[in-house]
Amino acid sequence: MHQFIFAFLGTLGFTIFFNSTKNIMLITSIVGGLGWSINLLFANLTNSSVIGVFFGAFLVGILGEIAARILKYPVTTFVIPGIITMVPGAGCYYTILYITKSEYNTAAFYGLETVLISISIATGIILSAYIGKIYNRLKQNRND
Amino acid sequence: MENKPNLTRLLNLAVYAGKILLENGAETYRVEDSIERICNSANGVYAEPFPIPTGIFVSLKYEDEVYTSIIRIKKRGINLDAISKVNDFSRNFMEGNLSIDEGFRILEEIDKSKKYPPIIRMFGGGLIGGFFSFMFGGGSLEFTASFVICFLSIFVYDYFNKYNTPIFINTIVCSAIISFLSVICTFINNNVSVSLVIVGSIMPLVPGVAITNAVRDIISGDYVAGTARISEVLITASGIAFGVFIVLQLWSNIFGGVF
Repeated sequence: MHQFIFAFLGTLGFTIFFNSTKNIMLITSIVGGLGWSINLLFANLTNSSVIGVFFGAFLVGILGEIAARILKYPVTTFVIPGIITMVPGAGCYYTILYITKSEYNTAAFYGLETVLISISIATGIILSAYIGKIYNRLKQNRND
Repeated sequence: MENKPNLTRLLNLAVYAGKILLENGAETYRVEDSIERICNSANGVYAEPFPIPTGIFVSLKYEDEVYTSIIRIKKRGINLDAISKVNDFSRNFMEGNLSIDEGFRILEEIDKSKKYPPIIRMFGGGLIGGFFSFMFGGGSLEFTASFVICFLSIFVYDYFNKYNTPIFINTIVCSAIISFLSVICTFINNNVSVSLVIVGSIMPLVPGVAITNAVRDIISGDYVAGTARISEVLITASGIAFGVFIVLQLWSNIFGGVF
């Protein structure tokens, strides 16, 4: 529960930093907090941060699609600050730090983890985006 | 065809919209969609845009004529408000509610619109730093330190950005300042964990969005755009690590600190 609050406020900071529109700041931060909580939950269940991040990013993507349709803002404005808590910024930093310290084994470990995590974030988001597109098509078919 | 649309102006309008989108951190497919949407709003026009993070190439085809425009994108940041405004604009324009002149006026307004005032941005930066160091396992000491450090580093970051400093230099200076201040914190209170403070405070600089967008572009088949973004990620990450490394190395060799 505290982790949700930390992630909520961290995301709120990023919405300000990314100059998000005032009306959607709170919603975006809730999305970010929920994504981070789900990430922690699944990471504990499966003992793998990559899978945790995948589910977290997928949830952020789905919530972003829903919020975008209700509030009429582009999906990106919810998704970019929403995934930021899961983004492997620290991993990216450790990779280069260990390279400069010539500890290449540790660097390779962090580097691979960073790449895998960013792939799973991207996969989560793309999957949810396609679900959004399929939903749009179904709705169009019903109207025709 | 009875009245031919003013294709040059239409093309310029579309490219201008694409430029604002790319400069404010939109994804490649969104830029492509918006340019297509604006161009295809005119009857019988077919547009073929090719945006990459450092430029946009657009060809406009109308019957047997071809118009082309190439522009360079030199600065890149993230401004979600501008993205959503341009997105709204392109939808409005497609529905034919707006003339081209009105379009230019609206886009100029979006282009000139200000970000939040510095003090609020600095406060937001403080929130980022503080709560991320909490999330990485810090305590209230680390929270306070990162909050203050991030607050100051956003000021420096924005100052450099105003003069279009290359992102590599900018991140080196900012991360060096961040790690210097974190080291100072350990002199004030011995229990502060330097690495937690640093990891929390560099979060605003870290190219997290860029790396995710890069992978996303590559997965969806925009290989050139994706590779360009990956270079940006590598340069920014090296800049951060370099800035931090200089300070920490000096600290550990002169004062015997451990990191």
